[in-house]
Amino acid sequence: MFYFIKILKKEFLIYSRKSSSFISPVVFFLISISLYPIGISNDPGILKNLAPGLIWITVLLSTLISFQNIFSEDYEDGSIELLLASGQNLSLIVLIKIFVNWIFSCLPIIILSVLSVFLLYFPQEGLKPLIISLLIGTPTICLFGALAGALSLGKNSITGPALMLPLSLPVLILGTQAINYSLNGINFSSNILLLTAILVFLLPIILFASVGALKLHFN
Amino acid sequence: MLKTANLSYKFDDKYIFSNLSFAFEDHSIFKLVGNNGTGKSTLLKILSGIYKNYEGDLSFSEDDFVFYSGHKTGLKSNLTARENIYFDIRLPKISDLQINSVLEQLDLIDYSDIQSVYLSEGQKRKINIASFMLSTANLYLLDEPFNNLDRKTTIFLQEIFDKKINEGAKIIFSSHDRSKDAFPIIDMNLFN
Repeated sequence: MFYFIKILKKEFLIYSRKSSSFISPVVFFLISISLYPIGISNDPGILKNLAPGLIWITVLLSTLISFQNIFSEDYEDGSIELLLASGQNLSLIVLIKIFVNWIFSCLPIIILSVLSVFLLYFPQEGLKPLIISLLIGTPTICLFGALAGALSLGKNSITGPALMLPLSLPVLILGTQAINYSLNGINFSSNILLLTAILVFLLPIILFASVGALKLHFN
Repeated sequence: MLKTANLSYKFDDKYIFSNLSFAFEDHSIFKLVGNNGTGKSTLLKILSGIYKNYEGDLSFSEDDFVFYSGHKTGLKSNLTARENIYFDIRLPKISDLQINSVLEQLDLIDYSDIQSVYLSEGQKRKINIASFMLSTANLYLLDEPFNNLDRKTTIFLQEIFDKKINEGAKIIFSSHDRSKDAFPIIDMNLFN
């Protein structure tokens, strides 16, 4: 347990000192959300209808900026070799890295998504399903990002997104649908349950696959 | 005891080395020498458990606890020298006092709170030596530990080697230096 707490503290320290890890996704999110009313329409009716999809797509694209860093620096500076040689539980270490990445790259965006009420005329009654769907859906996207990051280590920067985006589509559809259901007075709990089920089901599988992908680079 | 029998490693259908058989007792040290590409780093990675797809047999004692230090330092550029040592996954719980002591011995104490991105390659290597000194492992696998070190630190590291061996450790390290020091040699050129 001592080693895992040590890794958790270390990851928090590294991310907190690497301002780009949380500022870049936030800036990208804010710029995109601000541009939609200019680029699409400033009609509140149109923006209100498009808002759930626009917010989810922007969140998805914002996370692309950060997930490639989950393992790439460790790969380049030799830390992954030390982790592999340490004999510690790699799945747990990967889980810690994904968790810290989510805290720094997704959580600020989820909090800032409240701004869509002002920028996209997003109805206040839709905030609850928006926040819940993002809180449950973005960890799954981070898992896909970690797997894509592990598989694409040392490869060109397009490989990771090309792997991650198609995998994230079900989460995007369920998340957007949950908000639309809520805005139309339909019960959205089934979508939230499905998002939760996807997260719980995929968590061990993707951790296992990510560890396998990391080891693949050393064999 | 660490033993290998007919250990071979193939990359792209070409053997990097083959039929490597040796035994490492406690209190022993070996220097891996050889030309570039003869498998010195590869052998250390196999012994440390990083590379698994070797041929032949490899066996460890149950109480063997490995400390591996690769070509790359594994240091985080935005952590200080002190933090890099404190958070080193290879080390048990260590106190500030212990860290200060080794940093003092390595003339790094004045740089202990500087982020490692601002340190020279030699100073980064010294941080790895600090971890090596603080480790309680008994099998040390070090890839070119003398690289980028000044004369004083080189002599100091040799003294640390002696100390660790007297305490019962096994050390295997790679080097390009074939000079006649006291270390027994494994010549990887012979296994190509």
